[in-house]
Amino acid sequence: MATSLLAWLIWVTPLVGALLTPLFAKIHSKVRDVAAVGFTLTAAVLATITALTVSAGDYTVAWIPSLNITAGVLVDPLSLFMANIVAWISLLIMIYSIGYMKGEFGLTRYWFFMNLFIGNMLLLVLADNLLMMFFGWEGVGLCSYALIGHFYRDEPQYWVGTPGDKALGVSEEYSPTKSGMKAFIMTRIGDIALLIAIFLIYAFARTFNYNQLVTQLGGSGSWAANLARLGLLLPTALLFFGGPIGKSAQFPLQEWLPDAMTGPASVSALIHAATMVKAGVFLTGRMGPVFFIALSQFNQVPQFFGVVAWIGALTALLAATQAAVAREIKKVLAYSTVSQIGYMMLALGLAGLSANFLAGYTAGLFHLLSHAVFKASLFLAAGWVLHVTESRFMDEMGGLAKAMRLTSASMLLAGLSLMGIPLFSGFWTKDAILSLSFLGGQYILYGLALATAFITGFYTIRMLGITLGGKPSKHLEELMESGKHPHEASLTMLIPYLLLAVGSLALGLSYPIYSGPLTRYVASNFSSTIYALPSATISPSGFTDLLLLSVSTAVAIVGGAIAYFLYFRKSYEFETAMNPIQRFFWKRWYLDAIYYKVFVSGLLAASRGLYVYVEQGIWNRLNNIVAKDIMDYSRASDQLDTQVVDRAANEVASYGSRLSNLFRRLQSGVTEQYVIAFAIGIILLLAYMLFVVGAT
Amino acid sequence: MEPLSSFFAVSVILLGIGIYGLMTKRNAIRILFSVELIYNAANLNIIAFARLRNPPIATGQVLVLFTIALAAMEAAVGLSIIILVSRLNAEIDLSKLSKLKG
Repeated sequence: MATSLLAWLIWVTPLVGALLTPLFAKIHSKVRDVAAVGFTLTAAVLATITALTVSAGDYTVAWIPSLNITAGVLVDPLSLFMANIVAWISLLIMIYSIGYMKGEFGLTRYWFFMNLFIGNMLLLVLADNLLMMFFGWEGVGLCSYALIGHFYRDEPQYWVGTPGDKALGVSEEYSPTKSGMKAFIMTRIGDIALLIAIFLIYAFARTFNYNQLVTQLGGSGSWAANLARLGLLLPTALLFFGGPIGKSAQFPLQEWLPDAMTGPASVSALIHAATMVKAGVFLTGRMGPVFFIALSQFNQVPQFFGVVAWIGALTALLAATQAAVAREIKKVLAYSTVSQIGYMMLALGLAGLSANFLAGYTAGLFHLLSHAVFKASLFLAAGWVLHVTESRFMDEMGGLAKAMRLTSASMLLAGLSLMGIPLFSGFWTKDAILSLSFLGGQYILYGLALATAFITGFYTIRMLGITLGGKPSKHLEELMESGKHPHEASLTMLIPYLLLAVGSLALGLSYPIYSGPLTRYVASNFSSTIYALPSATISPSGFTDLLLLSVSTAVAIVGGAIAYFLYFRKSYEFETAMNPIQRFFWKRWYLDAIYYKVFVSGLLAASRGLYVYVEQGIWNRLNNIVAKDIMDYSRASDQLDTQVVDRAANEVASYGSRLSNLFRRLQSGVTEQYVIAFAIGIILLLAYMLFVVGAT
Repeated sequence: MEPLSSFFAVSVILLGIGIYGLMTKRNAIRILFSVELIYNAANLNIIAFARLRNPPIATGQVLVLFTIALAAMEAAVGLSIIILVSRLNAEIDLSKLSKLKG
């Protein structure tokens, strides 16, 4: 128990910290900030200690015994792998927040939701059952909503989108409150699918617990077999995947993430790049093997994992193309995040499609790790760039490399990792996915992934070129004239993103050393006999391997080179006139506008129609008719009341009064009369006795 | 003549005097006397029935003891009312006391 307590505390600590934040805020704002970071630090240290000391296992306590629901934390390689990434990156971003959020309003709220988020994220990762996982899942969604809309006063500088920009007549500008709402509602679509799937699984398995779900897989009476008999197994798996699609911003629910950039840069880095959007990847990683075993009994593996892989590949390409034309630096990064998560989904899908499940599985998870590191670094650095230049548009930056050498170096390191340049962590993990798709025989997916790699190289260098290279823009020169020169961030901000950027390089350099042990560590999850995962070692010839490596690298470098010649050393002007392809990408493939037209405008039109035709046309008319009838009826019954009932009552009453007038004459009040009556009564009684009773 | 009949005769005479008094007299005190006479006509009957029964029982005499006590109380209450009425109205002629009549 003592050791499992550590695992519990990992996710409880930040939640407690969140609840205590308002209290600390009462003491002093400094105490509040330091305490908030302290709780995250505690969680991070606990996560590492747990990984090192606590033996793997499912630490449960009773929760609702009658429904076979237990609460618990699952200590296993996957959960601790995720928990450590989440906790340590959270810590760096919390430290960054101290400097970055200085002087902003609503800081108590900010720290509260940040810690609440971290706690819920760790709960999501560490939960040993689907129900607790879902609590964390919704908790992070709530925090995401609250933090996207942190600047809820909707000042223009916190919006995203080019002012006046419209697609199909739908405004592509988003205020913090609007995009928060959008994110919340869009992810909810996936969550409903996920919830249905969870309850379907529970209805047949009678348990939410991951381990029990796995152990109950075998045999013809298992939950999977029962689901499959009704033809529900594949739909359940696909509905389950709906949750990850929403949370991880995959096609077709990817549209919320780019607009979620209205939140502070630290929030974008933590929630919308490094951790929360990875929850979908994590959950697919958690339940993917279970579904693999379940589906393989009924030969439905390719359908499910095909969907995962194709959605991943499509999203990767789609988002990359949008990043290539984006104007705002954070939006480039957001599209890039969507694109990179697409890679991870592709890897997880390939796991089921290829002959070696674990290769795809670990490729996805490793890319998650490397992406979390370099993307967090990029976002944090971008946050500082935004702050310095007082603009979110890249064309209002430019030439920052001279003034901010360390920030630029950090962005360059992380950017190279994103591109997949050799020796950086992104190189290894992305290449693993690419070569897996090629060796698995999925050549179309490989083509899509390769195209994405090309565009990734292009947009990364484009972003760096426009912001860091060239000459300062007009906007920046005006700023400098007014005495605001670009300068390096303070240490609390600089260290986190520099550390992450260097970490990305270090992870890349040491990849050959740690990849083997880490793969074995993650793979140890599947040591039990139930996991009959295919593990044919794909051993390509050295030549194929080298060829694949050089192709993917070359493609990224070519993409980068094109961008280099186009955007470096030139000042970039944003133009609204674009060629058709650019316009198509710029308008986000018109998906956002179409969604808006169909769902938002459609809903409004439908409710207006309901109002006019049903409410006014039918209900109101019906109501009027009913009311009129009721009025007529009550008038009639009023007549009945006064004419019949009242009169009858009056008549009865008047008879009563006449009768009593008659009788009151008898009440003379003269005693003698009463006595005479009494005497007559006696005499009559006597007579009766004598003549009637006595006679017989 | 049977003993019971003689008792009845006395009782009837008492009752007749009482009723006569009630009918003819207007003085409240006289009426009270008449009421007492009617009472005692009834008491006499009860004792006679009880005593001349075969076998005789004491219940009648006990009952009449209670009735006498009650009659005494009634007379006391009646007299006190009459005194009060005479004080208020300087009059105890019942035919003139019609204040309570609606």
